[in-house]
Amino acid sequence: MKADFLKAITKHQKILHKVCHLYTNTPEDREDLFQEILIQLWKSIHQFRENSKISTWMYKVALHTAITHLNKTKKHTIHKDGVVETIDYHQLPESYGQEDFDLLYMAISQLNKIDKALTLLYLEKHSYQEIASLMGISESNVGVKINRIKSKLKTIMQSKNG
Amino acid sequence: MDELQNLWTTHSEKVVNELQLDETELSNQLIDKANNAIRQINRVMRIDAIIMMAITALFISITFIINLESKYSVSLLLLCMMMFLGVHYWIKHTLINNHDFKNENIANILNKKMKYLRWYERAYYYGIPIIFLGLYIYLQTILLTLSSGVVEFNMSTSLRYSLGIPATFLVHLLTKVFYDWLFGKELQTLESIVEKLNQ
Repeated sequence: MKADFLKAITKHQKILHKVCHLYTNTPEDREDLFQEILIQLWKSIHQFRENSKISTWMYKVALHTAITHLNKTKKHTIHKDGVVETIDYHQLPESYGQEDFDLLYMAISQLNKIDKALTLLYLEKHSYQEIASLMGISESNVGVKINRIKSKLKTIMQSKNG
Repeated sequence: MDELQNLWTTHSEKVVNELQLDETELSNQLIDKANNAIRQINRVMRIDAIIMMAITALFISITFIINLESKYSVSLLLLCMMMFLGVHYWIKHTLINNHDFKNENIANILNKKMKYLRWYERAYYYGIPIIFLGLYIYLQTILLTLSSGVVEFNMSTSLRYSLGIPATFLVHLLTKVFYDWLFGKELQTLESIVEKLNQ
């Protein structure tokens, strides 16, 4: 299993790049998170079972690492209507030269860490069932959350589009 | 939202396609965190070696300034010790920086690095105090034989020799403090990465 680790990671590395791009805005942070995810994948390789999809396992490890990694480097915490929110004062995401994509990216960057994970899985065309299983929440809850995220993204994109 | 899914798929694929890494690059990325700590260790190791050389040069100069009768033999001994330490540093530096990525897995590479660093740590903790004790006994013998040519064992000479024990212990403690100051933080980082990989 361990001998095939790098082969598997090489084959499915897009997952890691996508997670890193979604959770960071600078190349330095991205590289740091990428390395952290690789270490976590290596550490948990024994947890991976042949009968489960390697991409699902990678998503789970990568998203969990991205979420906990950012928790460690959170800059400030505020209390808003009784809810604790973490604000990251990262610089704005870099431009990819495509207006629509940049706008989508900017809108996603303003979501909280859990919503970012749900958005990524949704945009990557995972079914609600897969998302629920991966995130550990009910399928109906996924639906509710995705709908909420959709309207959030829509509002942000419309306000920025002016 | 389907429109957004398509937008995402098209452009995110373009972005990540440019970032594709091969297996070697991924291996390097994986150990990069550990390497950051190693680079820091190498830097302090060089500082450490320079300090050792400076101290040796200072001791040799002192033997000449006070015009010690056996200054040449003492200086030769100090130079031999410096050479021994130089070889030791070179071996450590080479071992820590050379990795067999082709035949070794990452955990093995990191574990080997840790093993070498622990050898280095032990050599530092015990080697330097033992060298100090040897040098202390040698210098006391030279000083005691200056007048009569032989060492007369009495209460006074026994006390002078036995003082070497607490002095050696003090050197051991100072070495520990110095080593921890130089390598402590970096070693902790590396240890935590190795621990994570080995769990």
